[in-house]
Amino acid sequence: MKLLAALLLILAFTGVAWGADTSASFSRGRYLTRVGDCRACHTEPGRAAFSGGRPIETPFGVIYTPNITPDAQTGIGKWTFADFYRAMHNGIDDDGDYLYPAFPFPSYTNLTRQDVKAIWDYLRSVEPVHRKNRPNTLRWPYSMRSAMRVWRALYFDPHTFKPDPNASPMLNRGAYLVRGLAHCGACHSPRNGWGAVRQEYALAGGTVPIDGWYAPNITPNPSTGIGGWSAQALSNFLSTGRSERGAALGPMRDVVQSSLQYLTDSDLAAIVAYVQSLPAQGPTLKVAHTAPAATPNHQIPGAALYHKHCSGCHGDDGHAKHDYYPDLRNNSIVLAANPTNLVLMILQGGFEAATDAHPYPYSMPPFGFKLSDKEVAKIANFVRRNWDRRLVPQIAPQQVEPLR
Amino acid sequence: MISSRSIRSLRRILPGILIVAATAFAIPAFAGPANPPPDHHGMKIRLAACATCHGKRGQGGAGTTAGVYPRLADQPAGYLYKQLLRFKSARRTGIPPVKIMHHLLINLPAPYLQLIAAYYAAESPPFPPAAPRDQARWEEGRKLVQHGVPSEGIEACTSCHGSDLQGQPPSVPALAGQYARYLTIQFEHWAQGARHDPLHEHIAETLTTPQIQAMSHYLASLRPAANSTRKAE
Repeated sequence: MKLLAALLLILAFTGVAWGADTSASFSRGRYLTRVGDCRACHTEPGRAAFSGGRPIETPFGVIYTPNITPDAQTGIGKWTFADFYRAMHNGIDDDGDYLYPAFPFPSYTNLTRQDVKAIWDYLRSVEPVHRKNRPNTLRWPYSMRSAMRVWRALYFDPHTFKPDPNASPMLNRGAYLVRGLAHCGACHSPRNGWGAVRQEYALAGGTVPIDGWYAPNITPNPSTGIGGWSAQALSNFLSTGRSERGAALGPMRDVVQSSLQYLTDSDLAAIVAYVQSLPAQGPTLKVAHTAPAATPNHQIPGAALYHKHCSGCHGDDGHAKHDYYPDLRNNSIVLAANPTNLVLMILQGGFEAATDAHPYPYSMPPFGFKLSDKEVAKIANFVRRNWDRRLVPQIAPQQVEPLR
Repeated sequence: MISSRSIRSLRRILPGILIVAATAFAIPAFAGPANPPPDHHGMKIRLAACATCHGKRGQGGAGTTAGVYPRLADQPAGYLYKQLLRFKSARRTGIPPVKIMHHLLINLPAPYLQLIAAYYAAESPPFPPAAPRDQARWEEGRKLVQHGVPSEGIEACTSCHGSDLQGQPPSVPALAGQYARYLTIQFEHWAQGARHDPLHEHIAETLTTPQIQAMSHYLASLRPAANSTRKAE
């Protein structure tokens, strides 16, 4: 018995060391799976990780993500690595059926075989969950997978990322992550009528198929993109969901929480450097500043509503008394040419990202059921035009209603 | 010599040891001094999103839709935590304000939900004055609550929620002083399948609307006794 206890003690320690040793490739796979954010789409909230069933509402109907746990009957337990690589690289499943591009294989095709193998090894290690896949409810003709043949001929080119010999290793790493595993363009690039990313406008902004959130231009356009962001602000935003230029909202908050907060410092720096190096997309809006306020603040339309509902946290001048509430001045979400995210935030409220850096986030109340469309538009216009005095487009109450 | 039996038992408990060892190593990452959990006041500032309907101290009943939003204060933390998890996973749904709960909670990890539950469980703001009593309804409600309907297999509420109807830790909620409108809506939710619990579904399907309203009227009129000891348990 004593021997057993001693042996256990030794094993308990060596076991940990051994675990750390052989888990190098395992933790690399886990890291890459996080950067790819596989779990976010392949998990229905409240259900077992990677067991699928999360509805993705596309313009063509609803796609339910499949179970990718190693369960033999309902997951990918019977798949081989060759099957998995074909799915990731070519967008074709183990039966030879074409996958829909809601699964971002047009981005994942960039991945090296070695990285796909590490992800595969990690996914083989997760708890197998017996859960049947739910059939998609796509409308005809999109329900015919064979139609994907045409789509693929037009819009898909299987290829592995080729580093640019003229760019630094850091920029190449950033490009590999942004265009490949992190699949930023799946949301931040506009799509055409057939759901294909318009490569000529890569990362110029797009609509996310979740409640209509807008994924803004992340090229260095000074007025609609990240042109005015410092590297530090971008890095804070991606790793904690908070920055002096605004907080991560909606689906981006979830991406920060489940994926980007885990980026290594070097991968984070590479992503920031890469997006800052991109050619600016989209028209540069004239950021005309109006003359300083001739009328006192409280006479501007929306001022009374702002002071009633918002200033308690955000301050009379949009600058919060405490640094835990976002500054509304020079805030990218407030000043965005596309006002969708500002309106959605006022309507829905919510908590900021819960990350290791900020595990207990602050929150904003939902105002959707308290305020009319007109009141929401008034407040939004007040915060957009009052302090920064920029001529950003006015928001009409008619733009609020569809976002409810 | 190590017997094959020792090895077998070793195999059985090794994963446990590894988990314990891994946890021991993992704890500093979560509980390090960099991110201590917020104190009670810190939680209050963080929960602005909740206060708009439930009040800063979880007293509930806010605004023009008085009584729709429940009192959270004084509830057992275990009950509140369980409900937060159900809202988060959309297992508990219902009228539009309930759907907002899902939106609000969807990104919050379990340890934070536990802190939120503990925050409201620790609060004990004063109750609002009771609504004017409708004696006949109150008496009907009292009978149903105190005795149930044995012929229909409905037990007295007191048999689980406590003789003083102030709930039973860890997870049976207090009913005394809860808003009547909120209580009535819950039975509608059980009847519609928006909340799930066979016992309450049976009550919701068996009793008439006036009976449920009478129970709610009675329960809302109750106030905890000054010497209540439930919270100390």
